[in-house]
Amino acid sequence: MTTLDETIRSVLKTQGRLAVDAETLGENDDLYMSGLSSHSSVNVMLALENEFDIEFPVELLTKATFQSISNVRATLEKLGVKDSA
Amino acid sequence: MAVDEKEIPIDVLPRVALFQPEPGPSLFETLAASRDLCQIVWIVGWQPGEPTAEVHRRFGEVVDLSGLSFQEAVAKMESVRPDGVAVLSDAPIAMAAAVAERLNLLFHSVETARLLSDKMAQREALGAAGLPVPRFGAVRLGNTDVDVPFPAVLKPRSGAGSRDTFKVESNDEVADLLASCDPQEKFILEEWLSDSTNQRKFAADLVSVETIVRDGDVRHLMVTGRFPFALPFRETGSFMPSDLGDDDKNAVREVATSAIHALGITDGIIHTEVKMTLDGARLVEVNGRVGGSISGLMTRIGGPSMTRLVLKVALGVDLGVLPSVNASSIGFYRLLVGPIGATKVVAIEHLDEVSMIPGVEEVSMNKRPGDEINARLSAFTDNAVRVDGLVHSYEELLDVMERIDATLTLSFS
Repeated sequence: MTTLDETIRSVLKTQGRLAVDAETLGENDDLYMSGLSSHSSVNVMLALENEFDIEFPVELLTKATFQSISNVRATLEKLGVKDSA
Repeated sequence: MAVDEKEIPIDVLPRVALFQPEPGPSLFETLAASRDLCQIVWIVGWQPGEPTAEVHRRFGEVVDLSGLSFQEAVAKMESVRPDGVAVLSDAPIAMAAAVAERLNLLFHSVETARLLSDKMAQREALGAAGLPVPRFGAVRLGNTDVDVPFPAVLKPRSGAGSRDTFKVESNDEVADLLASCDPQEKFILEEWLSDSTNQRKFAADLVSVETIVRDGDVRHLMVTGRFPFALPFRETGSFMPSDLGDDDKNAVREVATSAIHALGITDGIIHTEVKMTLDGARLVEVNGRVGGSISGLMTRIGGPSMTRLVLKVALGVDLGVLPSVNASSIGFYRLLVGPIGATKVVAIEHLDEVSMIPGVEEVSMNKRPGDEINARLSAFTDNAVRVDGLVHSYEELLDVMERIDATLTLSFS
């Protein structure tokens, strides 16, 4: 079963347009410093919503939410997504 | 049409038709700005390269203008019957004004929109109103013979972000540059305004004034400084507030006020560029929208969200008491661009170290190694790295800029 971490990295890989391989990122690495743009962060958000059948409330749609893999994971967990790891 | 904010039921917010540009405030920032104030009707497809409907549908009502003529687009927007119309860039101002006129919404009049969308028409109007403007003339390929002394500045009549803008020294140079530009684009040549005796190390002579106009009442919120331009004329960032002294700030505010009145602006968020010259503060141009990245700078130093103010002005909502801005803080953003002639990013290194410099709060890599770059595009769309931060003195600002330059390694080919 795919873990939450693996799914986030997979989404970043396909939607994040990062300058580095998402597999090599540390969980606290700054995604914007790795090439994530405001435009691609929206695509990442949409892909995560689709992947987990959730909806990000407006108050969580901030730059900080998508700043790092750990921030994304914490937000997803707040929205009820469970890690299978 | 005016709407009293207190009377808006929470579940039936008014609708503002917004031309969301790319780049511009992030979609997330716009959503945050609209919270508890209005629903955004996303206007997309209004010019090539602008956002498409697909993404915006997730965030509300979308009106897609792709493939429509100007009149068809205006008619389509009219049928949507928004409660307000707003722009965050220059390009859709004329269309928004036409819609506002048909629906009796608060926005620039169609005539004012014309003056805000065409630098040539704007200078003519300002000159006719008695404001000192540099000598200028329309030029095109095959006809560059205008009564403008050199050095001069060549720029598109409709453009933002210093795209395709050049300091030129001769008619031959103008002709060569025009030959390399889009033949459909209209250009203006205008007299170069001399620099002041500015000895500041980190600031250009150009500043901007951020203003709210309501019912013809002009209220200046801020004077913003600029970092020195990169060749040929590219922006490299801004800092807020400007380091000008009080007398100079008053002078640039007066210039902005005169220009706003001369253009017939009665409602809107305005971004006026003024240059400090040996002859004092001289108007460069008036923009009928919030300045690029100004909203982020303003909130960084504790000021109001300019994007939210744009939406409030569109609705005619009472602005209330604006939060005071902490003058002890200086917000900045810096755009790192490639040299003239470079076409590709080779390497971007030491971003981590830049992020550790005290005062630096955000570092964004906006190009990847291998990406193409073009010095003729706006630096807002074509920068390799952007650095945002907050400092507490101009000495500290200068130090941070020098440390960024000493730390970051950018290679281009």
